[in-house]
Amino acid sequence: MSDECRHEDCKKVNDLLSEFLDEELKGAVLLELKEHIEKCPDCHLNVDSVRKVIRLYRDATECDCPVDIQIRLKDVIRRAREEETGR
Amino acid sequence: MDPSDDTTLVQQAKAGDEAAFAELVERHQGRVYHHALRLMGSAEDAEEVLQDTFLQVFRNLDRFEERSRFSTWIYRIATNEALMRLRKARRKREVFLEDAFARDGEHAVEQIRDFARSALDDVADTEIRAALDAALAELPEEYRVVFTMRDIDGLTNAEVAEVLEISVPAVKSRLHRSRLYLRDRLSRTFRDSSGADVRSEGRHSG
Ligand SMILES: [Zn+2]
Repeated sequence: MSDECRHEDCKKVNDLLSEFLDEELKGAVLLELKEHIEKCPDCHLNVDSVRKVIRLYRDATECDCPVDIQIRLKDVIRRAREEETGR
Repeated sequence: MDPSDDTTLVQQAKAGDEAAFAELVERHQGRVYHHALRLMGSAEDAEEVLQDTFLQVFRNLDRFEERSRFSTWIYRIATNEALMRLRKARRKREVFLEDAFARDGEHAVEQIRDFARSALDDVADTEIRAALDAALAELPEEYRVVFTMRDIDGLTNAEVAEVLEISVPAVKSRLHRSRLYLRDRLSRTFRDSSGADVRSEGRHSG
């Protein structure tokens, strides 16, 4: 399907995609959207790929601080503490 | 103790307990560092942000009123430190912004289809990570910061709004555009890196 023949509803899905993924939609809007996504391959794809991107970022994220940086941070805090108690 | 609950540690640290403060640093340094790294793009700058953030936490802890979560408070400090530096560096990205987002809703469906289906199994982890970082770095900072806090660090819309002092609808709109941009960008990247297919011109379109 080319871009020109994208339906109004597809545009709506594109606009509300984030709120849909974040489960912020309710009632008739949600129902309507869900129905359309189920029968429209383009929208299915649109939703899936964005979901995938979010998951990729979440999974690839490291949360450890390099050790040398941790050591220097401790140092900085220790010096600040000394300055404060030295006064 | 519930590790997500810093309340006790905060109270102990406020009372001058050095070990409690050290534990708070231990708990949050990794997230603050990577948050700063994603915003700043360089390890050196990120370390500066990290250090200044915890210095501020140290100096202002008695002023933290515990109306919000401790982690939200730290994020606000770290984000402000990072944004202040970025503004000083005055990177002009407005042109890019309009350019990149002008294509909203005109996705190359083929590319996205390939991307959504691929398991990315044959792409090395380091390669994926580099592509993710590169795509994120292209976003203007006011978008990057929202995507980072919301989708990577897991803050809520309300918390991000509080940290950045913008409205919740503004958070949602920036998040949405960031996600679409990153998806389009990564679809292109991974299609281009998926080997021989890309080079063959025997494909007919439409
Ligand atoms: Zn559709």
